Amino acid sequence: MNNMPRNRFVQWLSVAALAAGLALWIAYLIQGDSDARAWRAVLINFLYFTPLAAAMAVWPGIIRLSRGGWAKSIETPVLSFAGFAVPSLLALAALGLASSSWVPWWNPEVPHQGWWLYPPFVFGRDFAALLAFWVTALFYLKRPNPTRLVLTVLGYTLTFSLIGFDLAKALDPHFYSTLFGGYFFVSGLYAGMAGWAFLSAWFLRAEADRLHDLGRLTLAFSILTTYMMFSHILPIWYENLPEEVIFFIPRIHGDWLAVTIILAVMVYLGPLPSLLTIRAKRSRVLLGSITSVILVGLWIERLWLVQPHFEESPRIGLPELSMAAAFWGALYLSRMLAAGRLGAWRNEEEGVIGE
Amino acid sequence: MKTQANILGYAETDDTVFAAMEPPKPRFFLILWICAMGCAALFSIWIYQVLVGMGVAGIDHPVGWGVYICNFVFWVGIAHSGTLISAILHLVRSNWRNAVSRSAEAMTVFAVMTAGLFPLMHLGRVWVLYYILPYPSQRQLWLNFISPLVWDVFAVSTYFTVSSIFFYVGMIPDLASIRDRYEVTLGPDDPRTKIYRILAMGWTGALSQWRFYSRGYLYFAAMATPLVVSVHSVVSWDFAVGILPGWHSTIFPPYFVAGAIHSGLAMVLTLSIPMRKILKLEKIITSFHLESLAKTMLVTTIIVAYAYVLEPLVAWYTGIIYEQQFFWWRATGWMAPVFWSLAVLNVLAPLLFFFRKIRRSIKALFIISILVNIGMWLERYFIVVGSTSHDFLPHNWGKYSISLVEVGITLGSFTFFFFIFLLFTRLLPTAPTSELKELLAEAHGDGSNVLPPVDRKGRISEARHRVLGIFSSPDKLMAGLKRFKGSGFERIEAYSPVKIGEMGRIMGMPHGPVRYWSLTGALLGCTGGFALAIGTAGVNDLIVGAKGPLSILPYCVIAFEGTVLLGAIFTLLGLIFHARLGRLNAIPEVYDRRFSRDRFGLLVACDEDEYQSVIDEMNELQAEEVRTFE
Amino acid sequence: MAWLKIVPYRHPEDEGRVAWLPMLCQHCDSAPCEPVCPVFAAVHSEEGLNQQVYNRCIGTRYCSNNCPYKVRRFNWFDTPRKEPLDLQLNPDVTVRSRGVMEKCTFCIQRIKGAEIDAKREGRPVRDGEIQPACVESCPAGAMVFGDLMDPESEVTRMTRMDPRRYQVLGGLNTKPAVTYLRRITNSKA
Repeated sequence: MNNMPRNRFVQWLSVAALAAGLALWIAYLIQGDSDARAWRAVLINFLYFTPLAAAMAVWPGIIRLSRGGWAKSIETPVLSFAGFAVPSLLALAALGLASSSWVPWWNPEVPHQGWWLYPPFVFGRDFAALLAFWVTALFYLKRPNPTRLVLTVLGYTLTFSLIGFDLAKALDPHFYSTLFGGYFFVSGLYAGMAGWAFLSAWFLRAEADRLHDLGRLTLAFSILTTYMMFSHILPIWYENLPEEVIFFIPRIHGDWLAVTIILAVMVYLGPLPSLLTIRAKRSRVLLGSITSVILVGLWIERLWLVQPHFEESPRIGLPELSMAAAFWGALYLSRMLAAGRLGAWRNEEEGVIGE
Repeated sequence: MKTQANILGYAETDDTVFAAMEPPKPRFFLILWICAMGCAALFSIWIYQVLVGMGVAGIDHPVGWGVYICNFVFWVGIAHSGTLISAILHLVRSNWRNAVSRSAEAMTVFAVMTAGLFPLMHLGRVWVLYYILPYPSQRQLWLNFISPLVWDVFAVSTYFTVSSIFFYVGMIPDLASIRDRYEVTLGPDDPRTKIYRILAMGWTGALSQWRFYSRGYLYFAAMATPLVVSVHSVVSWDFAVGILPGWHSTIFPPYFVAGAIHSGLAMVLTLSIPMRKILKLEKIITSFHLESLAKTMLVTTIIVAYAYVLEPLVAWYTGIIYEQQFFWWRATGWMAPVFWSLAVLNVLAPLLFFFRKIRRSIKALFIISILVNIGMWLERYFIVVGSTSHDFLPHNWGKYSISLVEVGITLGSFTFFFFIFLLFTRLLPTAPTSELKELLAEAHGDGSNVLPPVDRKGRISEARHRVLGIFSSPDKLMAGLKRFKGSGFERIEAYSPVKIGEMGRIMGMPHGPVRYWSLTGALLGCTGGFALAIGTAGVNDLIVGAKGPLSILPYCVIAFEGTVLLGAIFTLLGLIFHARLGRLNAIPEVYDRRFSRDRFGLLVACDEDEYQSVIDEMNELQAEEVRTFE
Repeated sequence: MAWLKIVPYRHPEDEGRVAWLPMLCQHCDSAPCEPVCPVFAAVHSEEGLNQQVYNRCIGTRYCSNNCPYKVRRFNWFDTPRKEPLDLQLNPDVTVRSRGVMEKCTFCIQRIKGAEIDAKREGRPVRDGEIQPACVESCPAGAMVFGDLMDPESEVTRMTRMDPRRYQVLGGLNTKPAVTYLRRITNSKA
């Protein structure tokens, strides 16, 4: 029950997705009309998959921190998402090395923040933060103790606040918001919890009580994420300051308005009524379907964070989808490889449930 | 993890907590009298201010808001941690909350009452205060629902209503204990007995009542949780939707909520440490509970520190001269001592709780909690006065000096709070005895997965032949329930001083009708809130700041508060209806007063010929006493 | 009550040189003071005036806090006016009690007076007919008042077309109705 089935078909599918996705993306990069769009596709998927994997690895720790032992039976498979460390770091490094072809804030003019937004510095500090987070997480997984747990959770919040500020908010250096980092890491936790609930419903064959708990946390975090977005919208709409409304203006006109409404339904407001009933939270089919909608919606939300500044209407095409496939393949494969290593570590520890 | 804290038995828990309600020593009356004098001073100074004008408070152009608003935010913040402890920790099934939850809930209600004084006090024309209430008037003037101050009115009054309901409902089983105790010690005709009989609303601890009660309580907790977040978010939006540097910041809502819980937890520590000593509750509020409070404060400290660091960084990032000069001034101008002390008082001091030795020392906990209280008050002062005194145009910069009137009113508000709190410690149970006894029941292990059947429609009260067995522990009661249900008896009732059956199991069982009441109330409140705001906006048809007449975004706040308010009220009505509370002569003759203290009762209705077999079974189940009723 | 202040600002380099900034209620189209009043005491009229309704004001002072120009004034006390000082009160202007917020109204009594006269005579209001007290009393003619919606009025010409125009704190997007014209001088070098 606490094991993800080692499905050979899915394994080969993930290898194929990774290979084909990378190949198609490279083809687009070479032949397509926009280098920048190709790299932005990498950015969108990096911003989606990395906090998702990190959150899934961190969630069992958060539950333990609040003295809840109830997740012990289903936590091991999600912990192995820490294996995504390597692909995420590679992706970030690639984004950094290619920064001159896609970074919008250093060309053509240096923004008023100067050295803070100097691309090597930006990617350097983000890489260092992400590396520090993954190392802390892996230290915790190797030998769990409360201090490492606290450091890991703290590391998650600080690292993903920084990445949110640097790689999503800074796309327009005139836009500012003190809560943006908070929104980013909370939406990452939302994705992670929805992902965990998704896996528990479809693959882990978790019992109804556990599904209920995961469903409740998914609902709570959807409300929290919506609250964070509302906390942006309300003061920005109210005072109508130019540097703040530039975030929302492109997103409420033209084709992007439709995307905004779809997001409101899939990610922000929709999960509340659908996950309200006890039946929805306890049923594998219902919880599984609702969380899959949420997961897809959150991918669109990352697209919505990145693209409107550059594209007049939403473009979900070859670069975005091929990169999504590649990232998904990398996610599955890295998790699989990590699960074996994690099992070995866990068997060395006393009193911890083995793989 | 089971708490090691509850080492008292059922009866001792009652005795320890209710001993505090005995007539107090003279020094209590002295302190009470001092607080009463303080309240009298508060109201006299206030009347003076109303008659002469707001100028007697130290506020002057450009600082429009001063100490009164600081006090308002401070007291609302303190109220929040009470709800955190009683409602949120109930939802996450934390087990250390039980000892402190009652005093925390009391603190919530009284802090909201104290906070509610300040919007009145800071109004220039408080005699037309009713303009801010939505009432139909001959000139058809309504409220500006786009204004955050109107959201405040709705949020704080909703919070007061819901937390009072939550406080009272949580106390009902304990009030029944006190009623039964006084019936024995003071006699049924003593006025005190009569009062508690009315307050206890006919609670008998019947399992049919417990079932609806625990569901209702769960829904209150579930509604109180988003309410807490929304109320302090609304208070934070008082500032965040303003244009001033230092106020206009998106992070304010979570920052304020975390800060509120931070100061509130500190206040719980400040209140419960002396209270447990004076009322001799050390065995109930143990150092374990205090340590858990301290550990929770570490989380809020980190969130507050995150905001402290982030705000100046983003101000620099914006490149906007107004933001940059403002933050620089706050760190170096005449506000600087306050600025730097915030870091010490609100972040560095509570970070000491990382060290176990400090967490375990009662003196350290008390001192640090007072430091945090001072620091969080100063933070509100820092935010309110800092931004108004140093905004965009240099010729408008000003200073603020606190006047004696404000000092008097602030001190008076503290005496007001303590006055009510002191009365509470003597008139109402300061610890939730039934919840504490519940921990005992769990520790014994009631060993049953079966939720007892509900005696529908009071059939058992109409039965002619009834047998009552009295047991001394919950597992014997549960064994008896299983046995009799298994043998086919259909009309069974049980009486218990505690809620039996873990919440998890309750969750898995048929959920009962209370949730339909909650849902109805919630939907009515939501649509009602929108309808009120939209309807009145259509009547007045005014443009304010290029917004309106219709602006759905702010109306979401009103609708949210309405959802929680009516949801809670309807849940209360549903609870009263289904648990059959509040009826006259509700106590059945089978009721034994020990059922609210330390005994468990099992009532079985049977036919005349089954009498003896039932009695025999009861004795087999180790009933202490068996009674029959015709 | 300082509804209009002439604020002196020193020149940063030129010793002894002072610039004068007449600061009055800017009657912002997107006024930050209006949406925050809980009782609709600060509202925007159809003519573009930011109106303060004295008998509705309950004195929360949020409007003053939110005004970036800080041109709103609060009555902290009652002003006693023993005879014969009460003769200095303008019979066309409401006397405000303590606890009420007030500010420049663009002399709404004069605006309404001119509009009533024009209506009685069955004609539109002429450009320059409405002269608020500050405009009328300035000997240098430094202030011009008129109808911004009238393309022919003097104030429109100056506001829309003069290259020296600017708005105080324009970046805050308050859309003030008051436009200033920069003073240009030859530099000493």
